[in-house]
Amino acid sequence: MYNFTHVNANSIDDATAALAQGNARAIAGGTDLVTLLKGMCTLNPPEKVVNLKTIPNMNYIREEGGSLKIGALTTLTAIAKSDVVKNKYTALAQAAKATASPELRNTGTIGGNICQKPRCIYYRAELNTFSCLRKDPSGMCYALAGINKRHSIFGAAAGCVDVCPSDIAPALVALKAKIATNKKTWDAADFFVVKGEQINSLDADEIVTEIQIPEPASGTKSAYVKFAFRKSIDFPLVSVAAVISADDASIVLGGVHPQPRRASAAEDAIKGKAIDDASATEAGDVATQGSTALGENRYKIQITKVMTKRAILACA
Amino acid sequence: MALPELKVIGKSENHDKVGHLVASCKADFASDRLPLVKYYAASKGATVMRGVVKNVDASRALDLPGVIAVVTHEDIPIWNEAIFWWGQEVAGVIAEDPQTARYALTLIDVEYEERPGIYDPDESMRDGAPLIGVRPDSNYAVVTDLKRGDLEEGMASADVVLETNQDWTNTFQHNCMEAHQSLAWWVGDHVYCWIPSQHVFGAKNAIVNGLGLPANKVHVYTRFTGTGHGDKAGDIFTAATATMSKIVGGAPVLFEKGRYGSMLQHGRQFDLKSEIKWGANSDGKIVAVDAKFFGNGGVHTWAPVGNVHFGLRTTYDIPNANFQVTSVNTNTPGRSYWRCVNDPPGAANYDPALFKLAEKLDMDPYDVVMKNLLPDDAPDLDPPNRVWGGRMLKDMFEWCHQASGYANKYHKPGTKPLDDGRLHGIAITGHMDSHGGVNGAGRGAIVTMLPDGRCFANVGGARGCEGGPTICCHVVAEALGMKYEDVGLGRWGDTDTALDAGIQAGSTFTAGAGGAFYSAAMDLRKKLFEYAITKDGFRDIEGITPEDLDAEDSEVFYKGDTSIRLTYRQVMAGTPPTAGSGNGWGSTLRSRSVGGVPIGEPCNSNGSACTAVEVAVDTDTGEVEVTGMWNAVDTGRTIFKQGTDKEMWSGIELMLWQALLAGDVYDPATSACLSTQWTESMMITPLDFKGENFVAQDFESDDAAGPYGAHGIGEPCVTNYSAILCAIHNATGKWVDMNHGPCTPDVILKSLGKA
Repeated sequence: MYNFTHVNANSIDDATAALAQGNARAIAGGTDLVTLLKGMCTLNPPEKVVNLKTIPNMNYIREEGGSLKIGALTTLTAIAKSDVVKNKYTALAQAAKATASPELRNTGTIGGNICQKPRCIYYRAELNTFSCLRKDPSGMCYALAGINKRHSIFGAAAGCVDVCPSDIAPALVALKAKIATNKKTWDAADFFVVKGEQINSLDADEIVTEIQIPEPASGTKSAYVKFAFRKSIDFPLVSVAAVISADDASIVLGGVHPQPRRASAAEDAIKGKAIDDASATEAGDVATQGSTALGENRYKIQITKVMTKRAILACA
Repeated sequence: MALPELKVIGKSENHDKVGHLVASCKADFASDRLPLVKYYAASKGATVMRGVVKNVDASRALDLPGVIAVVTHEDIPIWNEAIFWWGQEVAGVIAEDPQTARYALTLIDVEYEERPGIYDPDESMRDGAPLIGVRPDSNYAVVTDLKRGDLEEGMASADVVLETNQDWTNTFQHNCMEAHQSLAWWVGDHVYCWIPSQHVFGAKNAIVNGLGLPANKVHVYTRFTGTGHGDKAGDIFTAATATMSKIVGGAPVLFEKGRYGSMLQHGRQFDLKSEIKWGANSDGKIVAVDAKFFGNGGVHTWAPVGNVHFGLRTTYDIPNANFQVTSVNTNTPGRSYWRCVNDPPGAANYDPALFKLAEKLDMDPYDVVMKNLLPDDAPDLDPPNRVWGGRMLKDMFEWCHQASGYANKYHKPGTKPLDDGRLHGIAITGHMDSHGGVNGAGRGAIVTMLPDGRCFANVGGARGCEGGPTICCHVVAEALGMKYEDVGLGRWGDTDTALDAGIQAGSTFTAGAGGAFYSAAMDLRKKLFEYAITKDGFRDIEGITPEDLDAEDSEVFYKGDTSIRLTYRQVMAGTPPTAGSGNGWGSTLRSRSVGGVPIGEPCNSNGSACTAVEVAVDTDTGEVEVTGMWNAVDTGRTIFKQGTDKEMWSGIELMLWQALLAGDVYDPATSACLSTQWTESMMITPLDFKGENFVAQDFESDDAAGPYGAHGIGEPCVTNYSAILCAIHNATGKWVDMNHGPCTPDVILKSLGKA
């Protein structure tokens, strides 16, 4: 583990100021950051870790002004168990429940989940034994010609073929969520990018404060389905968030690209149609348009088709 | 076989003697002695797969505050400047805290002279392949070559000849909950070590040899191990810890390898492939088999691959055979002992091969198995042709058949869809295992009775997950005629106060150390009965001898009048603590004659197991749900009932893991092991399977060689993951190519042509 100083923030301003001093990282549940620090797999280890959990009033789920608002420190367990989330924003509840294990969901927060670092096996190799492109611009993407069973089937982003590891991310994009920080409010669709070691657009002193999700139109149904080798605890190999109403469809793929990826062709294929096995199969089949398998992950194309179909059928 | 009921042994109410310490977090592991620790150590692995260390520049690390010393192969006698695999230790740091020790590793610059290395075992066996450096003139060697009958004639006489090939099974590390670590310090010229070891005396011997010290100056302790599965068989690396401690003036040094070091530097299960040629008659009778196995030992020339043929050799009655095993080396981490080591990958090769033969013969594989099963009372077909002390494979196969409802469920491969669209599959496999037998020679035990009439056992082995010391308490209580609660543990896992009870492995401790404790208890019993006849109550009986006494429920009684009794407390009144000692024994018929072979003759002694598996396979995703599992295990005699049940259940979990999730991940370009984290190692948890229709059943064959008839079961109960592979084939009609990894959905989709 790297040595660092630990600072409790009492407010967002406190945290912002601490982070702005440089070479600092925010910590909430710590389920990702601590493993990164213990594994010593970053070239820029923080000298300071800023604890956000001591900031009051950032742990809530409430409906307000036509949208659902979730404090960034709300645990994944609370989201998975929330009746309002389960009933109206089903895909998000299912994504929260599909994340990690019960212990990690009890600790991990929604803010942390969308700020986690890449899970690529080369990025995470301990003691920085591989000069992974995500942490070293002069490095390379080892997965391209190496171990890539879990990697992208839609090519690289910024030279990296890792996938966005967040279960929550595709659900938020599909639900057209906004992500509020101490600096601005992002559309979820713009929030997730490849930015060095980050999976999102945040500045070094930017902190996620709240998730805002517009109330779905009456009759809208949503679902999140996930495929992983291990059912008890695993990152998504393929996941699909689907939000479908009478005249609209939003289908977002997870685990198949460095960013959550809208399956536009699948959306077009199902939009306005009755959901049945045939229409869902048709949409699933086109969900992988433009995909290109790497050496070990051709299977993910098949899985993506099937998971897309199942997510759509779950919205029937 | 229903065995006569015993007073203590086999009783389901008997609890683990020290399990409560684990459950209440009072179990003490090596690194729990933090107040003792003064310095912490960490080690750095090589970043080339083969080469020579040319230079180690530690200047940046030594400048880091808190760093006390940097060590290399020049300081640590068990390290080497020649590098044979990525991750081999090249340098270490001793520091004031563990964070500094580990961080300092990143500040050590190592310069290598690289040499050609080989990652792929097939490439290693290729003609003209460069030598990988661990053998003088080859990258492989035939380690087993056994011939029986006339293979050529057998094949010529067969109605059907079938050549089968199985590609590499999976290789995986043990993922022990407690990673490798050791604590060492010196007082004068004596070294003291706390380590997690399954074989505390083996570890002591390694330190004695590694440091060149007299045995009486090496003191090694292990009370608990956070599982071992063979990965903690010796722990020679403690010699490195002891050396580091010496470098810092004998101060206590804790060397923690963590998950990373454990994965890179310690052993793992080997990957195995085979070419098996069958000759059979059209009625299913196998008349010849030519079985060639190839095991990848990584850098270990001693990798334990040589017995992978054992189940095939001993389970079936095949008159003409050749069994050959080749040990292949690669520049990858060494393969070593894993729970059951030979037999699961062996069975994952020869069972699918046998099922392919059944398919060729258009027969149910179960019928082919039963037609060729060696009768349980038959002697071994190979010299010296000994009988088995206890064997009941036929009963176990039949139980699996009946319990799983196989007769009504079996179908031709790939022909039975379920209502939900998935495909149904079922299979039964089983074999005589190379483990589980009586192997107590060289194991010793001491049992002591206190003046209050209670007794304790000093067990020279740790408390692993399987409760070995508890088994010893059962044997002692039974042999002495004591109540179970009156027998406790003294110090255990302590090389200063106990005798060497051998390795604490699931398949060896029960019959091995159990035999030693039986001998020790009988020695003590003799002394106690000699005391007893001098005590009021007995001494007035005319002509009484110790042979006239017996004991039960912690009371000694006169066989001529069972109302004349003394408690052990009364027997011990006025007597100092009294000890008995004894040794275990090898496999010899002790309790009964078998197949006409009289008591006293050498015999074979092995455990065995059969497993039926039912699966549902989703052909859209390749997902496998194991919907039923019936695991029959020959315990010989069930000693510790709760522990036996737990062992058999853990066997089920480990079979699921071996088949479906277990696999190291290596970078093909560098041979770097990348699966150093839990997320990549994919350990199985209870949330990964439903466990409905899962049944574990012990069978008692009464091994004539074992203490009270016991076998060890830790290995045999995990041995049949081949049943899962065969059930998947029965579902899909396709065989999977594991390609060194587990049978994950992508592998199944590939077999179906969907990936």
